[in-house]
Amino acid sequence: MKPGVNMSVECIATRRSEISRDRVRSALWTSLAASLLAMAGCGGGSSKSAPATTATASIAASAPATVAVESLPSLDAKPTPVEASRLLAQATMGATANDVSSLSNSSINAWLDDQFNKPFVSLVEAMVAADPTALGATGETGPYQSAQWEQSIRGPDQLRQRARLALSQILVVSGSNGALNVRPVFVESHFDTLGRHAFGNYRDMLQESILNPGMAMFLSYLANERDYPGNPRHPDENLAREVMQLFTIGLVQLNADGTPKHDASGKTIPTYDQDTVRGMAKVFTGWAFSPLDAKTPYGFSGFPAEDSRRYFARPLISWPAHHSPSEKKLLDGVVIPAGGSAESDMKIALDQLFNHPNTGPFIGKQLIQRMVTSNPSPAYVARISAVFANNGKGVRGDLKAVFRAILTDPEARSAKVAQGESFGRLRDPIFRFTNLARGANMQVPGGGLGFIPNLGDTDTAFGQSLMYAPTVFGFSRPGFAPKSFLAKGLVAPEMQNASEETVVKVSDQVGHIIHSTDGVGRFCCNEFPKPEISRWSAMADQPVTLVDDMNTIFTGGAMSATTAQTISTALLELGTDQQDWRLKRAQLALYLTLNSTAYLTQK
Amino acid sequence: MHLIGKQSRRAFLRHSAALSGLSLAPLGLSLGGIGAASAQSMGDFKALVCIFLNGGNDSHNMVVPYDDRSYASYATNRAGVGVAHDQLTATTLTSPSVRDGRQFALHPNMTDLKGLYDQNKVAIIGNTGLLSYPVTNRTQLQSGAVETPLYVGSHPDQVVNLLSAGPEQQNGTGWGGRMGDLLQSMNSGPTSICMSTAGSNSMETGESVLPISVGSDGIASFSYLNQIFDFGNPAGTAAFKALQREQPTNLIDKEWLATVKRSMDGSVILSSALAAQPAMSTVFEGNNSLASQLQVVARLIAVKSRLMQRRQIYFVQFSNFDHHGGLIDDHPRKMGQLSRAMASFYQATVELGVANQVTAFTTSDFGRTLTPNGGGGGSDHGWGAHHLVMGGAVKGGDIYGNIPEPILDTALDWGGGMTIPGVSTEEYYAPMASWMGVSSTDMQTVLPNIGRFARPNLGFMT
Repeated sequence: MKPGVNMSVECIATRRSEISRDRVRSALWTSLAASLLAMAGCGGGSSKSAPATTATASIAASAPATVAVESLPSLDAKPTPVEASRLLAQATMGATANDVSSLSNSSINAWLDDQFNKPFVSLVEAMVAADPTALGATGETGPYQSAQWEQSIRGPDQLRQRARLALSQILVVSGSNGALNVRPVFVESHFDTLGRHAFGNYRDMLQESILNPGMAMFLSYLANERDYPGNPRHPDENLAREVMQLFTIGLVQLNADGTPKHDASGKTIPTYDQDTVRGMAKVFTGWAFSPLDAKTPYGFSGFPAEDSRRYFARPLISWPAHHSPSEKKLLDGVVIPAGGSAESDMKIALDQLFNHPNTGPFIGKQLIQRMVTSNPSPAYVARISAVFANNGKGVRGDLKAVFRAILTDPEARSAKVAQGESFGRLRDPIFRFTNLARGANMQVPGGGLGFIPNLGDTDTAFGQSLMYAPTVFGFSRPGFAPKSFLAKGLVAPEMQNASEETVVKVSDQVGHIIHSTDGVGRFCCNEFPKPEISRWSAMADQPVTLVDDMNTIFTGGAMSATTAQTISTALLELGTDQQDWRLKRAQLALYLTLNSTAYLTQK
Repeated sequence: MHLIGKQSRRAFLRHSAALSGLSLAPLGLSLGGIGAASAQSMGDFKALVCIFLNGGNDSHNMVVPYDDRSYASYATNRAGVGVAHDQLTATTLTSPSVRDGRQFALHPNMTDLKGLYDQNKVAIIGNTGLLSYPVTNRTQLQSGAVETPLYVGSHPDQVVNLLSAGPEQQNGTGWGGRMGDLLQSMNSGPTSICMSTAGSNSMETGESVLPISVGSDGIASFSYLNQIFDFGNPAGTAAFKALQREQPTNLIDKEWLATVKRSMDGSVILSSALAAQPAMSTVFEGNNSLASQLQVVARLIAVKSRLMQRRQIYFVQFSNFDHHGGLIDDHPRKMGQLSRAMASFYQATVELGVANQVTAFTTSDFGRTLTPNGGGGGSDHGWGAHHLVMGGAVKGGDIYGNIPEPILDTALDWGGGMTIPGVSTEEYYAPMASWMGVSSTDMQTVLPNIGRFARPNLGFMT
């Protein structure tokens, strides 16, 4: 027998015995141990911040049999600050010193419970309250973008904010769309929909999203007209495709672990064909604004101009005369008979999609990718699929249970897994902004975030903003893989936006924001918030302590000893001659930390 | 908040180029040879520019039937989203585009390209798109006798397959990148043969070639530390460089650092080459994303000698062509922008004396349905589409391939006027690859499936 094989068995045995106190997690570990070994190696891992040094096989073969084996801390115990920071990076818009401190004096379960109980706050209601007399759907996008940033960065319901951002990459409505750019109320109402149902049921969120006027404008099915015999005009197929391809089942049949199924000749198996697209297009005909209480009467394809903003946030209603009376081919030979109503047809179609075996792995894997890691193991995906299928109480699609399962999964929580070469996800530009805004408590004089504009237009260096994806496909394709990843069967979705040009622009923008603590430069003005870095100025005479603090807050302890030393040495070399040397050291430490790979890949 | 405007950013970059002693990068890269480049013969220069119309251009309204019989079918089946006949007079294409009594016109807003078509600088390729094998009748696909390409109608899959023209999902290369692999040795400069003004794309990665993304002034250089933070103390800059040289084990970390290295290496070369080039007199219109990208391409062509490049492959992108709605208001505007941007680009190549050495071509996710949808004056995802090829080396003033009659339920109708392509993607690309210098024996490397199709050269290139 080869020594490596022998070693692996011992490791598994050791792991099992060490965690036997926790029966639930032990069961998970039994299935997980082999994949953990494959991903991170059995040996090593004695220190919280030491990165994995090499890949698995050689280490496993040569490591002594007595190496320390990681046991996951109980979710009901106090996590270390580094463990707390890792969870906060996955579950919030950015860790703060206060959050790390507070969570490390509580427990992950208690924190999750608290977050799940935070009430939902409606942005549309805030918008209406700010100007109750405002009529019409049109308006400037800027103030709403700023209000989204305010909720996302400063909202106490951070888990909801992060979950919503992940969901907004699946059920996409974007202010970058020309029609929506001038009608921000529709984008805000979808932002509300995602937040309102983030801890509810996916079936409810799906239907409310589809009946959202913003989605209907974005995917061009607002006032989607029925088919008429002899008329070449056909029902719009935009939503018909995307409700399958993006919102529920995807293009190919999946196993519960998210891997594609193959037919006898080894090919993937499509989930639907063009006939299904055409049938589904007929399903979603006849939906438009509600005329019942509009201030001014209008027809099916009319646009009610004069009404309160609250009105525009209401769901679409069906106009029976405009709904296709034809039969509709759905998936797998299911046909909706002719003559159904818009409501009953939609119910049949959405129920079929929601209950399709693909939907759990398809949605669950993407949520993992957006929050934890680009390349979850099939076993991790399968565990989330199982929770999507049944939350333990017989309910399918319970997102609260799904998010809890994603964040408490051993693969998400294991510090050893995090050191594997394929673990983690590149932080999108949005996070490079919100992590800084939260971690450095950015604010304007007198408090608050002031005005944060849309950071997603072409000329702004971040190139990304909330609810501002370039297309219905979100910021990046979940399956995007740089060439070097393809051969390994790995993906790195967020790398799709990391070009030679953008890596510089975002980095410089981060620098300019940090530099605004000088009160000069690109972000000079009071309307844009500034980082508050006195916490680190106060540590400036102890560079090692300063860097360690940033390592805990921003990188979840992922910084290598080399990186930490590079940064602390640079701080020393800045000297103390300048009057503002403390500020300079804090600025430089922050810039270098936020441009280290320890930070850039959330691990 | 005050973002640095375009003007000041240009000035800033010139400034940073002048301060090259302080700039970050290029690590271990010598600029010494660039001055000698002008001595090198550039007579053999050629550049190929892919203009990607992102979203699926409705080419039924770009190349419009004009003769009475065809137009009548078109008007019936477009049912309100077609171009009015009397708008087409000025852009009607003259013989030899007339076939079987049929006539065509470009979109009324494409007067500039109509002019270039008349000068034989623009050709139209009719009904081209992704195919697994040739198809002459839809029954071949319905019966399974001929393999149907996967995921027809799906944006991301069609884009990847169409731009890669090969097994992209297997090995991550695209036809431009594979062509670059073969031609890169003709360039003595270190800059990648494949350049993009639209970031990552599925066309330009090869086995060894990696595309480089460029902005309006080349590639921005990391400026915060050495330009803003502290001119006097190099500690920050040195630490930043050290962080870029680390050897992490995490694969995403590695990919990030590789991208940063390409950026830093490319920045000084491209930006300084561009800064030294006198301005062109050709005007590109403002508020036109495609025009500004093609202007960048023209400027990079202008500095080919400084870059020591005899072959260049470009990818530019014009977005938001997914006209499920807006076919009547937005699409015409885009047709005009496309026409003016391409015509300005051609004019720039004339100014640079390389009009016969630069070829630009359009491509898009897919064509669209002939019939309109019931939403907001748009059409849905189709399949085959008409495209444009432009340049002095193009045998223009003609239509290659067929433009099917605008009628439904034909042998090539996949439903609703979603046309099965008559010219495969491979047949469309091969003449351009051949023109760039890819030999017939190498063609299968660039276009692995070319052997499945009967026409390796449609003959639209000289």
